[in-house]
Amino acid sequence: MNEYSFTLQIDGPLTEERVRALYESGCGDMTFQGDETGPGSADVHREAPNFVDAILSAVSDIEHVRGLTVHGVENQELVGLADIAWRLDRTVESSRLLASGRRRSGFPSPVVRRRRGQLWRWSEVAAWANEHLDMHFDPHETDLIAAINAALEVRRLASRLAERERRALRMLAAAG
Amino acid sequence: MPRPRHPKPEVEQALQYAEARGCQIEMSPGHPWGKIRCPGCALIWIWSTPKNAGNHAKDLRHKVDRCVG
Repeated sequence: MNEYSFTLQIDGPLTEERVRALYESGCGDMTFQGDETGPGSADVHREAPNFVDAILSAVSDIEHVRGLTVHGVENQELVGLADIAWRLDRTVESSRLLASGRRRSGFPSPVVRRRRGQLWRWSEVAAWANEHLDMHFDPHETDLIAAINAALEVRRLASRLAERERRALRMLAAAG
Repeated sequence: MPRPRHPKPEVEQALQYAEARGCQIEMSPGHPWGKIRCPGCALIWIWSTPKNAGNHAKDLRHKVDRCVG
C-alpha cells in the first residue's frame, strides 16, 4: 500500500455535527476547511493500492455523510508557494529558498508575478523536483485527475438528463 | 485564560504557527478538538486524534498559508 495525497473540493455546508460524522466515517486522514456557508475542501492522505482507489475511497467516505458531495479533485496547474510547499512536503520558507535559487539552482521561473505572490507551473516544478529532490511525481496523474473530474461532472449533471441521454453518455464514456 | 495545548506536539506547533499569523483557535467539545479562524477564510477543523498527526499538522499549515498568503 502507498500513501497518496490530494485535495478534494466539497459541496455542502460543514457544521460541527457533520465534521464529527466525517471522523466517524473514516475521514481521520483528512483535514477539512469550510463552514456553514460552504463550499469546503479536504486535504487527504490516503493509503491505497493505487491513486484511483485512494480518490474513490476518500470520495465514498465523505459522501457517507448526508448532505456532502465531492465535486472535484484539485488539479491546479498554476500554484503558489503554499501549494508547492505542501506538495513537496516542505515548509513555505524552505520552498521560498528553493524558488529563489539560494538552495539549489535551476528552479523553474514563475509564470505569473503578482504583488501578492508569484505563481509557478506545477508540471515544471514537479519535473524539477523529480530531477533534483529525488521525488516521484507521475505526469500521468494530471490526466487521471482530469478524467476523474470529468466523471464527477457527468455524475452531477446526470440527474438533469433524460434516461435515453444518460444511456448515450454511458455509451460515449465506454467507447475508445 | 490561555487555551489548552493540543495533545499532539506536531499539531500544537501548527496551531502556534497559525496564531503567529493572526489566526485564532477556538475549542470544540470532543471531536473535533477545535477550529482555526483566519481573517477572511472559512474555518479549518482540528482533530483530537488524527490518523497521522504529522500529516494533519502539515495540512493545517497548508490551509493557513493559503489563507494568510
